[in-house]
Amino acid sequence: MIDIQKVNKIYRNGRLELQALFDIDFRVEKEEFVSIMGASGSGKSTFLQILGCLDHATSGTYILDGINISEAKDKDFSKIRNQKIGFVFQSFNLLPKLTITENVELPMMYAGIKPKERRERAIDALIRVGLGNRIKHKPNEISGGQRQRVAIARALVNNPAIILADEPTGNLDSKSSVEIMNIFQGLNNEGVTIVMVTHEPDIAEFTKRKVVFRDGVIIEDAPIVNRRGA
Amino acid sequence: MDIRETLKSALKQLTGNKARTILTMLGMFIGIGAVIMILALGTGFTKSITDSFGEIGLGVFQINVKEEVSENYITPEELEIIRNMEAIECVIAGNDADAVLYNHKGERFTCEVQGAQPEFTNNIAKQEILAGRNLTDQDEASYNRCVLIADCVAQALFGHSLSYEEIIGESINLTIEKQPNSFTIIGIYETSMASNLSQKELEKTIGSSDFFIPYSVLEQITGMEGKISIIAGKIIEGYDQVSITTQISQILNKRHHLKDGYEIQTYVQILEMVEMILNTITLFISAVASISLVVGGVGIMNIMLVTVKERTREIGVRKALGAPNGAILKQFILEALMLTIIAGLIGMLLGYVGAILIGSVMNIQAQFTLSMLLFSTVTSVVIGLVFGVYPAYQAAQLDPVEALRAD
Repeated sequence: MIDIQKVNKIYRNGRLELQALFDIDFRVEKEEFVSIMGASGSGKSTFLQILGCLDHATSGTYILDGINISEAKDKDFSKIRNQKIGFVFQSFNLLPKLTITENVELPMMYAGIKPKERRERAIDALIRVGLGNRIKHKPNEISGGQRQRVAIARALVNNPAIILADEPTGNLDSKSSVEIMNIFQGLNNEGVTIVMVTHEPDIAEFTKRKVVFRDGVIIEDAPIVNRRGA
Repeated sequence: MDIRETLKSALKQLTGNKARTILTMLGMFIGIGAVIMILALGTGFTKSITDSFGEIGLGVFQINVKEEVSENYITPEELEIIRNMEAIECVIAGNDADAVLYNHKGERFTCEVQGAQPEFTNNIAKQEILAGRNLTDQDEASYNRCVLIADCVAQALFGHSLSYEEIIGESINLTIEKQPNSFTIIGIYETSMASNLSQKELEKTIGSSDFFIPYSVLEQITGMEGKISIIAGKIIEGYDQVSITTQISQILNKRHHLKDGYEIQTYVQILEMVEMILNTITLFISAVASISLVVGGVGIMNIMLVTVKERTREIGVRKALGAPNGAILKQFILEALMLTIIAGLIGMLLGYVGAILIGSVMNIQAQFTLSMLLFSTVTSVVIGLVFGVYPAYQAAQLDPVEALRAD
């Protein structure tokens, strides 16, 4: 699914150079559920941006679902993000003026899917995350946990190759966090591949594999032994 | 993302912050409103002038003696020379004189008597006769003391006690050159002023309406036989009015050994003058309005830049979800366009209402044409594009990572 070899990322700001990632090798197979951990400044966010095709690596190769991302052009990136990747953010990032159904429709809109099909698929995705009775609500009319579920529905709706979640429980209380992780686990059991950044060890324990970054290199990559949840 | 949905979302954005939207549009309201108003009033004014001359006809001209001394007057012989010119349909001698008129209550009015050969009221300045008859060659030849009066004058003098038909045959006394003369009313001609006027207003029309009498009669009263001070005529369609009238004045100047003794008035000249004045006014107002439009456009660019700043995170989210740069560009250009087009429509409406209001005060019937609609639409679109592209481009070029980090 994901095959990354010798990826480096160097930020240049004038004459200042900062290397955030050093020769990263990283593979993710289908139906994996990986958590990426590390302190702030460890390079995990930079790595997630490269994984999510929001940013280019400075060097190295990146193959996602058979596509050589390292050779893709900027303008192909939007299509790859749209078709292959589903994002879940810490702060949900729903558009406040749209209903939750319209929010879920957004990725399909950019994929050029017809309104009727879009509506149906959006409602299906909302039912899948347990929000079938909220389809006409605006984001500010539902709880934080429910908003994150909308975001998950939105990430799922184009059937991406992989879901990338950046601290998805960072803004949630512990009860909602567990709910969200249960949803992720359920999706993973249905065959969805998930890579999630978190700094909370107990949240990482819901996943199947833990990768730890420090100072731009992977210092640990091991399966979770005592897995929480279902 | 198709156009309809982009439009829908743009409309949502604009209605989401009504006060800001309206304030942003203000400059354009004023600019487009002012241009529409001046164009509508100008067109209306030109039309009213064209209409009033249209009744008289296009080829009409008038030549006046500039300095009324005996050697300058046009002679009947010269009138005959002009009448025989190939381009001339007809030409007549005329003159006017001040007169005093008393109504049946003995109130005194001053008025103007037009002595004109019958072709004037029958052809050159053709009058619609409501009752009685027009002046004839017979009246002219027999020195018939008869008069053709306006419908409003008839009402002013006789009120509603007599019908127009009954007024025919009545006589009025006109004192010309201190000589009282009785004239029989032979006809009443139509004006646009007769309806819905009060008695006071009707009486005011006595001073401004023409009393047409035979030229021979006026000549006789004033003792100006053979001394013509005004000629009026009509040029056959297809001949150039300017060159024909110039030719006539050259003939007259040569015969009287004058350099420039005769004043020529043609419909074309007057219309050209009116149009020139109107064009100058329109140009001036348009210049002021275009400043307002540029200021309005800059205001729109400013608000669009603020919008892009405010919605940076939204742009980041849309990009993360797969929006290509083109879709973001389109979205913000359409928002700017919608802003300017709505502003243009409201401005047009304001101009329309303004033109009607001011028109009613100034007694001008404002005229609206398709080209005005076209003008404001095109202007709105151009302003929307010119001032909307830069903010939209900025939005489209945002780095998604940076944009997602924005508050």
